[in-house]
Amino acid sequence: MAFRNILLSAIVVGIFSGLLYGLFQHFQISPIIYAAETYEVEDVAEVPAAHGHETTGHHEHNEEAWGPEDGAERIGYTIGADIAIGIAYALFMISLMALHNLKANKPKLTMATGAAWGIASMIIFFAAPAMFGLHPEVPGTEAATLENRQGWWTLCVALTAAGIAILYYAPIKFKLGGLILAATPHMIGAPMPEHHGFANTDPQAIEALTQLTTQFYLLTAVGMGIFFVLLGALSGLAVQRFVKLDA
Amino acid sequence: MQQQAISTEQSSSLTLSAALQVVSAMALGAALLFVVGFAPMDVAHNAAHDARHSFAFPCH
Repeated sequence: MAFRNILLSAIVVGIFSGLLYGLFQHFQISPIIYAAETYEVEDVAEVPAAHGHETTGHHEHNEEAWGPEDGAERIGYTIGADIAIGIAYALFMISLMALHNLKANKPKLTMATGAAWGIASMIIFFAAPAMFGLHPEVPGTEAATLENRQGWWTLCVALTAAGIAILYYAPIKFKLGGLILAATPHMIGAPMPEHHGFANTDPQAIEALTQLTTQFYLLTAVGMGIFFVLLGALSGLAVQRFVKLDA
Repeated sequence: MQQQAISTEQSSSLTLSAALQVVSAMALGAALLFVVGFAPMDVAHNAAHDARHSFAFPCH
């Protein structure tokens, strides 16, 4: 039962790595998000009340869509979402590792090679789309249309993954193609806003938000590194021990 | 007797479709990632807001 084994393994791996990242986020990253939200201004010109961020920093949503209350509820939903994303990434990771074990003429996965896959995933899901394209942003940062950025993000992740797969699996003469594929989204270029900066134009707020952005970028990078290496190592272990494809 | 026949049939068809099961698991992962990280509905956005930012997903 490959599907059941992959799903159960992914749930366990996702809970561990998502929970760890959730705790890291709670202590290191969320305080930066909360601090940035105190500088948020209601952008009346653009979609009024689309997100409902208040100038007071409270995450109330008034008559608009539901959102978790600040405090325990918001923290709970955040950690829950981290775990869900962890499970989603673990499903990708363990599925691809299972395919590797099933089809590839390479050594089977272990915890150590799993950690290496984790580093590759960090490149695919964080370094390529975020460090080389759409930088991690605190709330209240000016950015291009959301759908365009999401589209570019997806393209970038898909092409980076395909590029790395070609570099690893394909015969030597095709390897250049992998590099070109991974470079393509960056040649197209990530969608950027017409003018960079923050919705809040108060000089003091801009200075504070710039500092918060730097911290946020650094800490998400550290956190993502820990998250993906753990996710990869645990996925490698799960595939080695629990996912039997020749059942 | 009948039950045995069914279970034999099941196990053989499952063996054949191991790759298909793996691809299904990936599709499930993609759907989950979309709902938590990318779905445009306000409710999904608000609930996962801080997580979306922390994973550097495009947000807002």
